[in-house]
Amino acid sequence: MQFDFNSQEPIFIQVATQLEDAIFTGAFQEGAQVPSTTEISKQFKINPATVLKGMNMLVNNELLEKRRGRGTFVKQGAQEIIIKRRQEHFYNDYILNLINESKKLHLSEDDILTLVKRGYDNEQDRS
Amino acid sequence: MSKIEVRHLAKRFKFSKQPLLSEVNFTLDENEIYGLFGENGAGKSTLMSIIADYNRRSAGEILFDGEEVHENDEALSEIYFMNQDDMYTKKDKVSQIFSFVESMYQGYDVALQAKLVKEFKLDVNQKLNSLSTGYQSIVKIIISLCVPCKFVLLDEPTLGLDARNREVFQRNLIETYSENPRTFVISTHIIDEIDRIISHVLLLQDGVIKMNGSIDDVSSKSYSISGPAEDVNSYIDGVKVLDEEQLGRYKTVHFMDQLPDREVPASVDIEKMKLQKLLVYIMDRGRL
Amino acid sequence: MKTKALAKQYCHDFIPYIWYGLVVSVVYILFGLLSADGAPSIEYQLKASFFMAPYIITVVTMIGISFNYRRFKLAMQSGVSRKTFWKAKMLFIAKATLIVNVVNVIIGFINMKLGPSETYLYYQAYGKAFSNVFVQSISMFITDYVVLLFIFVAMNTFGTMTSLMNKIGKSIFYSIGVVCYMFFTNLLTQYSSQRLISRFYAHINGDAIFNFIFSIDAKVPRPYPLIGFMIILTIIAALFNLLFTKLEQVKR
Repeated sequence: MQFDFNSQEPIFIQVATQLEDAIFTGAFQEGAQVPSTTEISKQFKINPATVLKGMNMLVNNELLEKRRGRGTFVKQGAQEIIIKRRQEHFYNDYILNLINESKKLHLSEDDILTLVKRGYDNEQDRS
Repeated sequence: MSKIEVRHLAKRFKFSKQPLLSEVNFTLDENEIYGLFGENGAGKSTLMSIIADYNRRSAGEILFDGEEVHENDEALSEIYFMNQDDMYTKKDKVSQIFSFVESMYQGYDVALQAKLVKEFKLDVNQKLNSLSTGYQSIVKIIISLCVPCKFVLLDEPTLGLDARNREVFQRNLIETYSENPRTFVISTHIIDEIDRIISHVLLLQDGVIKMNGSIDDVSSKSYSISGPAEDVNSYIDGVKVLDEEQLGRYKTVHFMDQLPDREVPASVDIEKMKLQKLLVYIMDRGRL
Repeated sequence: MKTKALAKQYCHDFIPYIWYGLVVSVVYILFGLLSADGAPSIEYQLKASFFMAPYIITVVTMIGISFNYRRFKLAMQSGVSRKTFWKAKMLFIAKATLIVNVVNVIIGFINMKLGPSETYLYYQAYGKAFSNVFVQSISMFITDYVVLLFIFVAMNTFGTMTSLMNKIGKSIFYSIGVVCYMFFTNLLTQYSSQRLISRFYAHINGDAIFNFIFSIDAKVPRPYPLIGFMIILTIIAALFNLLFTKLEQVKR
């Protein structure tokens, strides 16, 4: 497991993001146990309370579940939830930015659509 | 739950016009890690030394579970202060110093001490005064992590330590803290190094506690916003700005507040600010 | 628990001063032998300088006792109040006095084997106090102990007081001391002031007081009043010590 805590975000949000990424990529399988607060805090030298706060964010988002006395586990369907949410965010995070940037570069809507088409074609050629 | 309350604390040195501490108020709760920050000469060490009853105060009170700390054996045995002075007998061997401390504290963690000696690669058969400055600090660090005190005050613990030993210190601090939670107060100038470890930020400036908050609150409220000057200005109108830089029409402002409740202009970039940067801006301006 | 542990550490730090005292004594005796030109015999010279050893050891260990600041720092670092530190200090001084006294008594006995017992101050005053040798030895030990205890507590009180001062304060304090000393010694050489002092001495009946304390006029002089007097002085010195200890700060 390789986490990277170097962004400017508050640490507990970084913890949540990193764990979410690990679930999304399948590093933590659904139903599998995730490392304990203490393990994470020791390994990355992060205050245990901060780690707990990050984990609790994912518990509230229905991605993790705490089983009394046994630890924290990835919930069934967690990956699906992440994908759905990221799809919703896709418009805000990528499309709006794309349009913004293309306006600055004087690219028309048609130009963008052509570029998108070209991207997909290239992808197909490669595979 | 134990706690230390500092109330209306003041410290004025003879022959100096300005008091070093004019009105310090805060509470140290159990099982938290506090970062105590401030410029050189802000009075961090003095504040800690007064809490540990090393030094006299001019006014105010320090309460441990509601009881005055001054001359209070019970309270003082729960407060350990690692300072920059040489407090132990310098011509003693390190092993002798360790066994002295062990004799002073019931519940001193000998096992942890042995582990730390190994990890720091400390030679306990050396005399304290023949060790390098870094290793003299390491001896003090080891003791402060092993004493069974509820409140451990560390004044620049990593001063003079090399990169490896600094890491050993941080790792073991977190380890012993998660296994056996207690309160640490760490004063340091290398904020980047401990901003993940601490849970609370205390900023001492101009004789008062300028900032006192949980690290999450502080870091989720500190922003750097950049973009064309007019867009930035209209977006952050009404926000108390800490600092700003302008390069031609491109402007960056730093502030600590909620984001304004209005639409973000497309040309404006919002970034979070690291604690180190935030504190530097506050210290520079002397205001929040 | 902390009081005892601290006192033990202070004793540990103090032991070297007894060695220093012994070394200085040996050096003194050797010098005595070397500078014995034209003297009757080496044996006589040895006797003449050997009786000084307990006094030399007392003076050297006195210096060791007087250092206070580093003991204070150790106590502060160990999380005790100033009052507990004072208790630890008094316990330590009581122990240190015992150690030094044992050393001194042993040397004293060797000294008496070597030559006339009159060189030993106790014997000069109370040589006939008890006929039983055993009781006499115990009485001698206790008397020496109490006198030494007072000297040590007073020395430590002095050290505690000076550790409250910074460098400037100390130099002013010592300068005043020297000036006072010069003033009084100068005063004492003048006939008028001598008369004044002797009149005052007569007024408070000084002779009687001293005779009582040292029980000089008694048929069989015994050291009880002296012991009592020394204990009172020791308590007074210890109380002053507490007063100064409470004022101590860790310097920065």
